[in-house]
Amino acid sequence: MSTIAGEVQQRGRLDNLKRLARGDLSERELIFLLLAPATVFLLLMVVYPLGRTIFLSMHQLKLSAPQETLPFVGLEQFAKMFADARFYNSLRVLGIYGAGTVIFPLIVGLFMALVVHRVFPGRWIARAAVILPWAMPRSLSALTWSWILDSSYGLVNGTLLGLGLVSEPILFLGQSDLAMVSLIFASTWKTGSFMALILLSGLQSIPGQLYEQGKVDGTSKLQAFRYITVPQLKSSILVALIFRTIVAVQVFDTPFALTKGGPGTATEPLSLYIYRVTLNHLDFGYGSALALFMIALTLVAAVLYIRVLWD
Amino acid sequence: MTRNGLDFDTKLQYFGFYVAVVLLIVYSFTPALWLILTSLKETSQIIKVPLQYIPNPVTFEQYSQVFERAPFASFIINSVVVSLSSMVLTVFIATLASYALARLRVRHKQAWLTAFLLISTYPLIALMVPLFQTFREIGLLNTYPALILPYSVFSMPISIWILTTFFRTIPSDLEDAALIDGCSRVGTLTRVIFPLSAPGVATASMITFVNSWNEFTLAFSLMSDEHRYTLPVGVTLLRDQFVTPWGLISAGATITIVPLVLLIVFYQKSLISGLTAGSVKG
Repeated sequence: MSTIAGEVQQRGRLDNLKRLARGDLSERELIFLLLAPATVFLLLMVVYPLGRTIFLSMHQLKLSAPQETLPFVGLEQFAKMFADARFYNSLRVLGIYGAGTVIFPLIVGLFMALVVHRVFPGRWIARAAVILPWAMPRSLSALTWSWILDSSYGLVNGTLLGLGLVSEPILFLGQSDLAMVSLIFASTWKTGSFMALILLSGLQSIPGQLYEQGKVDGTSKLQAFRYITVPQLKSSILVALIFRTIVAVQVFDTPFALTKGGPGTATEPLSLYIYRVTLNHLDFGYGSALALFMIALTLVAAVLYIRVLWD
Repeated sequence: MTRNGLDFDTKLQYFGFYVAVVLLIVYSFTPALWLILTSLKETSQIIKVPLQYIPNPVTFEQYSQVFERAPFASFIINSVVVSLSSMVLTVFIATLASYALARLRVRHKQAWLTAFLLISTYPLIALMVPLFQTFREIGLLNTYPALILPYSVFSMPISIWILTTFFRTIPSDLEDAALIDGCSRVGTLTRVIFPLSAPGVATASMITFVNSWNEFTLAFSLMSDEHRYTLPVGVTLLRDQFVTPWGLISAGATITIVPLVLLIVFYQKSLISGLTAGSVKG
């Protein structure tokens, strides 16, 4: 039974639709419409997979044998993880790699930023030199370094032999310690760029009067660097360091393409181990438990990052 | 001269500075240069002892070989399709969200931006299993959307940061004028804001493109069919042979980095400004 009130309501709805179709939205409606796609995407591609990872980490799923059911195993796989020597090895690798590839890229990045911060003829080439390592795919830059460091025909060994500096080739990627050094070096080359860009934007935000005032007071270049540049750059350095830590924790492509984690497991960080467990051993359950640990590690660094950024 | 100019006091300081510049250039360009040199040699020159630095004669044999010995044309097509699609999708969605965050009275603005930032730090390797499973269930493994969808999500936070920063620089008088003149909110967006935001959109597009073009982890784990490999995966997996074909790898890698080098040469300024938008206070 349609009443007058019902008809009015219906007409109201129709008018509303017409208004929406004309693109005549209220601010709140527009906000909803604009933020919805990004939110839906992020929920589907991050939150849903996270849920599945948590679920799987507590179930047994090995694709290596046919499996009818999906047995619930509780925290068993986490217990396995904390008793797994290879897991601890991957953390040790991550620790050494992380320390090296946070410190050295910072030094390289600072050097690059200080150079291109100046205005000089040919600066665009120097700028290109700063961005190039960032723009190279991590996998291919690591592959290139493995070619340059090749023991038989590589550029480095070839040059050292040619100059008579060594009598036989150095096995850069074949010895545990040297492989780690090579990994840190290749990674530093690739990631110093991004550090440089963060520091460069920090340098650009230092007020020029500070230096002019310094000049009036008769400070030397070195003093200006020590007492003006470094303190003013502090927050950029902190951001760069934490950001770099987050990325370093997740490193996968570089060791995969440079050393494949070898020799043995000498350069196998957590992500490479997760990959092996998952796609080589096809143990999706245990792989998920390991992945969850990686997420937790990242989250700690990320929360730190956000606190610094908003501070 | 600006304050950043070369106001050195002594000749020695000038000299030192240019030494630093040369050092920087050599350090950054050596790997790419060595790739190109290797790619122009015959295999016999590549494995020569003592080392032969300069290709002589110059040959394009490695380039023609890489197309014969691997479905290299497919790699290129796959990379182009995936990178361009995820670029368009990401930037479109990010533009909408950024406009809201920059110009409208969104509640908890900082919380939104923080959430986006947090999501960008999610480890890709942790997505391998759930995405593999999900895409297998809905039949997306070895298809383009399997990469386009996750790539769009992971470049979205930086795009949103870049665009939000950019939208804030557009004077709000323009919008107000359009609204007063009877333009609807959507009309204001499409007729006033979007045209003005072209530079910001371009920067976000380039960075999204580079991210997708270079991605390895997901491309490697979600595409098992060789004909679906993207360039970084296809080139990296050339290595897995009894004798590593460095000539082919160098040719493949050189082709892969061509568009990246072009972007660096022509758009270095926007790249630099865009890249740091997400990492420092906007």
